[in-house]
Amino acid sequence: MIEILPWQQKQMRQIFEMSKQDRLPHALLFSGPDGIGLKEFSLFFAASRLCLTKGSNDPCGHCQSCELFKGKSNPDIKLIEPDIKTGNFHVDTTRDLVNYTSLKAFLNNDMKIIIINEADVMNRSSANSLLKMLEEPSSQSMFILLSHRPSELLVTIRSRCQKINFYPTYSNESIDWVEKNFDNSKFSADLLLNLAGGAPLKVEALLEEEYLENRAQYLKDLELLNKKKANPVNIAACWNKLGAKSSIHCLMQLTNDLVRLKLSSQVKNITNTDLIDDLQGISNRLDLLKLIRSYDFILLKYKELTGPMNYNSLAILEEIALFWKNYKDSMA
Amino acid sequence: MNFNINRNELLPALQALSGIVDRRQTLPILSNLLFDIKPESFTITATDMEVELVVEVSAKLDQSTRLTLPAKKILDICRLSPDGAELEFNIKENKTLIKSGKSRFTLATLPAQEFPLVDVVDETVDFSVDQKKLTELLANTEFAMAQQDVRYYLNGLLLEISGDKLVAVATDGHRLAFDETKINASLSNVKQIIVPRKAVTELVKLLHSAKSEVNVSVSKNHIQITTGSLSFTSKLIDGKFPDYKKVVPEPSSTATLADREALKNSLERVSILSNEKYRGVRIAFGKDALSLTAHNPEKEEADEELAVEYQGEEMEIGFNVEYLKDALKTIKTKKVILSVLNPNSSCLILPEKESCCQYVVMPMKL
Repeated sequence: MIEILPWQQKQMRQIFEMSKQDRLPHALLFSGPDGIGLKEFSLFFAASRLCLTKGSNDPCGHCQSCELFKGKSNPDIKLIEPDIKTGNFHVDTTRDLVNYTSLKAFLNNDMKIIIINEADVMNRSSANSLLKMLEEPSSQSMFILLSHRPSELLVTIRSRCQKINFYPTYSNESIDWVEKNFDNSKFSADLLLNLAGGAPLKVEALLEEEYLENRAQYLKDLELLNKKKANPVNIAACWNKLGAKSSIHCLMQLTNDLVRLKLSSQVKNITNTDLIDDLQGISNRLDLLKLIRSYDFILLKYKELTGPMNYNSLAILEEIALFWKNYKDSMA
Repeated sequence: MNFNINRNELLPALQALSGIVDRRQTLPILSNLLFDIKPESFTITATDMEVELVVEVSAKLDQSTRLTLPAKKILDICRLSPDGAELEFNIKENKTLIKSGKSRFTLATLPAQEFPLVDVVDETVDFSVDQKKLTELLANTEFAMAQQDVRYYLNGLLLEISGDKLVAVATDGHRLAFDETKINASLSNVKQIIVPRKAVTELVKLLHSAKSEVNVSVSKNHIQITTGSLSFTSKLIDGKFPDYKKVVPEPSSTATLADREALKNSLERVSILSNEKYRGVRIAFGKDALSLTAHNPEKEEADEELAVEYQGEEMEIGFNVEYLKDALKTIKTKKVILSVLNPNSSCLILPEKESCCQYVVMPMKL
């Protein structure tokens, strides 16, 4: 009915050990990179914790709790997520949550599990009302907060949660999993996982965006900018069309590889292993300082783009393109 | 699988259930009704995962099946079908065909096992109570429950079952309402539960003052109330209610005896000119007389004298007039007793010669 992802075994053992010894806290914080499967893990844990057939870590799949879970209607699991349109939590969501936590459980488990996905994007007032619930939890509520950026959470919230960390995975099991779950013949599973930063579920988004196909284009654009043969405004517009966030992400990975190649020309050190020849060519022609500076610059712009300020994505990309084109004039 | 049922037998049940069906529609299955058909009984269930209502339909069908149908649509189909029309249900995999006269409707169904049903089995406390008494008990206390208070345990009604008594207490921190009634049970230990506000308001709508018995069953997490063909279940609030006994003061030996209707009318008149936000009214207790005064920020003033029986010392206290009015509205006797110990104490309001309901209103600084 629901299975644990292969790279999450360690965390599962940890949490079931806590459960067995009856030391589960009232609030847990799962943190790890985007695409590591925090939501999947928390749902698996919730299903198995609420399963009415005791004795196994896996949910049985046929008790009342599991049947309801399959229909996504288990009243003792509440999954709340930011609104897809606005990217924020709706005010009513937290208001409902206060009411939900104050009531007792539905099934005879005496436990309700509240899963808050992307808990770090909560605005101040929502976060404060969540804090209130964490400070004085009702006896039958358990909170699971999921976050890719736990440092963005209120300190007072973070300190009330027991943390379970998930790390990027490059193990053979994860590579096998990528191989099995994503249908693609062009690229090796190894490369896909590397490009996804060790977060296997992110591979899906990469394939959908044709991220891998586009990398060569980005590299060519950088080369053209460097030779001052292209108009940075046009190039930025083209990047923006491909998706600002994934563009910056790709530029970041490419510059990162260029820096690494400059320092040591071994294939095993870089991420975009299939583009080694092109990368090597560009890397040879540029100086280290420029590469490092532009990496820093892109990193800064990435923070601006994903931060709370809502910058114009096109303007940010234009800045990066101009930086590449004008580097010599402004810095040398 | 097929069955036929008369529209007139189905409609009252569907109408009773329509109030419970989740309006927020968080889960698709919650906007559906569960039809549980067995040869011995035919029940329909609606839930929003906080409260659940099961209604038994009088018709008997010689079949056994479980299915869910969209609540609003099936209600509208029944409602708009001609009086006495025969509905023919034809259940398929995940569709149900309803035929009535020359109309045909194909409705989408959802799997019945995904419908969340409460299972009240463990450690129950059961008793029965007269429906009229229970209705009164709720009506006498319901208005004092808090609304969306951060102290979530106040957003409900405390029910305390001990011996052969059922006590109901509601408070929002400024006033408190207390009532008790006799039940058919003799329990050795005291059981306290808090019924959520929503469940109480739904119950008040469902119960009526007919002379019949209501069966109540309280488990660890739920309360279930069964009367005739209805069975209402609600989750309980997970919290501890404050000790109400500490809040209710002893009746004073020199209490005021006033005519309820006259006092209520005076308060209503005086409150016209009280502050719209704080609703403060000053009550001066004098020898056999009450003087009520109110003023507002526009410097307008109202005062009124009222003859009562009072022999105690003179004093002045401010109250929120709405709280006094609420208490006086629910009391049914001709005269009421107002008991105040000193100018800083709360006011205990009692009906004359009938000690079960009690109202406490905290004073306010004016």
